[in-house]
Amino acid sequence: MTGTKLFRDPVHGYISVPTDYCERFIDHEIFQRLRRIEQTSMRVLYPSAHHDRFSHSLGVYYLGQLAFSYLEENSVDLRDKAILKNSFLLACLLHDCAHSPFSHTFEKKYEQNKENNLPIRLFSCLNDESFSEDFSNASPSPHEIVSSIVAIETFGDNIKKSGGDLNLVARMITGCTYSSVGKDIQNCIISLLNGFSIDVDKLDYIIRDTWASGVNNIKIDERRLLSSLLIRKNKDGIYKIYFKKHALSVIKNAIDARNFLYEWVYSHHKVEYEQYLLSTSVNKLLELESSNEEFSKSLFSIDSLYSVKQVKDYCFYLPSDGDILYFLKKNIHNIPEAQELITRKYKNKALWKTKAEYTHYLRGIDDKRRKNILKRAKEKLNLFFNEKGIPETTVVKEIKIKLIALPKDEIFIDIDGEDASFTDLFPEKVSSGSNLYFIPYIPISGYKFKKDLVGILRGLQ
Amino acid sequence: MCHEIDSEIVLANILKEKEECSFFDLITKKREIEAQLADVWVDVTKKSVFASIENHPNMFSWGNERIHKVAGSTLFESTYIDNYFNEDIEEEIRSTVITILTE
Repeated sequence: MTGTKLFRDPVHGYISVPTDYCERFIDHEIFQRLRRIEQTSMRVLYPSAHHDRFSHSLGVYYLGQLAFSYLEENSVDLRDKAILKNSFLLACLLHDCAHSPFSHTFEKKYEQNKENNLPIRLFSCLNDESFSEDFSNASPSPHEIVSSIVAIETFGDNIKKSGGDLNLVARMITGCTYSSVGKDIQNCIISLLNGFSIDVDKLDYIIRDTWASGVNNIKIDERRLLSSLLIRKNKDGIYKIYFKKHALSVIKNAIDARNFLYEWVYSHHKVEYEQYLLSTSVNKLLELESSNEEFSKSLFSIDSLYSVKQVKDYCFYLPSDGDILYFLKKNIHNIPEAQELITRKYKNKALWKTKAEYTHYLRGIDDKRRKNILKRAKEKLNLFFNEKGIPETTVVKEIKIKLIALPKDEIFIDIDGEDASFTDLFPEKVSSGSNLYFIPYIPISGYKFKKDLVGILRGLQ
Repeated sequence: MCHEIDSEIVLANILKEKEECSFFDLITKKREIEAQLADVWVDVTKKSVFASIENHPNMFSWGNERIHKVAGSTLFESTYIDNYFNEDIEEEIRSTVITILTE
């Protein structure tokens, strides 16, 4: 190691990174591209939320360092595990290295593009049968698969030079635990980056998104939480991650803070509408360019991260948010949703804004009828607007708030050396119930008829 | 355009025919559908499946690394599955998708 470099981070303070890591990973164009990938879709709501995948990746690395050093301090069986530690820190740094433009909005496009050959390309990189066997149980998201591929294809040699193991790094990024026996310590560390409930990735985005938005969310004392981590055998002799009892309040806070963001920020009606405009615009763009097969293959292509690809007038290289906006601007006259998105002159407004309002307006109506209302809402509302001479631009969007429901035995607490399950201590955290609902977005000039429109929807059988 | 099949549709159809399934079963079905239908993408990731379980607590539950049909659930009758879930599948691919999921 040849010294360290410091990054000033508004969330965590100074983040110290080995100079080797800067030269081998951070200074690479693939990693620098993350400066141009927006972290979330909530900027429409919070004007200062300009943070990106670059600062998030550094933040996860920082929390990973902190978590592992506390684990080493608290767990006898984790000492002298250099390969595991190096692999973990590298996986933290590289976990989003090939995230899609506009992050989660388009990550599925990478899997839909058959040329990327997911996940076979990842299996070929690793050439490890046990990985492909364990892969199904992990069922990683497309951005995790693509980031693992790019981490190995681009940074493989440097990962090895930095003392990491390629297989472990890929497993950590994809959350792919081992099914074979004797790997339970490795599985603990995999879940510390990509687990079900609390991991360093989630911790950073909860804290960072809260900071960047300025929203009044529950505060998480991350040092108290991470300092409570330890790995030890449970009563069946299997290594598990435990939180010491002094972190109970912070665990609750972390779960509540995450759910707060999902319920009130990421699923906000404005955010959802902007997401609709963005994804519809890009789908229409791909349709418009469907005669140009190379276009759709290149826009969401892993190979476009590696080298410049010229397709007619377009140049594809390290695609990021700006490229998508550029393509949409070029087609602004052909895609009404792109015009709406770029000018921010929205045609529609949410008929109701929250799940609470939806529940109130559709009270007494069972799930089956609500689904029927969802299916017929657009047609019925547009019929009303047609009669009133109002543009028929209604859009109905189904919203799925992804709150954490903890399975039993997911988080373990060490109470004076004895095992306890978090969900046994706090059973109310097991499930929060269904969070499905829908929002009709209606033409702004039709909003004055809100009561009539709700009445029409309630009357649908 | 690529047709997208939501994980809740996959779960509802598979669990209509049996009491439980694993992620391996879901991924196998996903691959089978995508191999047969070129322009179809099946959304089966850990995150999407857990969101579906969470959003349909009267139908699906999670335990012992498997997804289970909720005991005594009356929501697995054919008409409900067809009206509530399968109608969301585009008509031209519906029968192929359902056949693969339920066989």
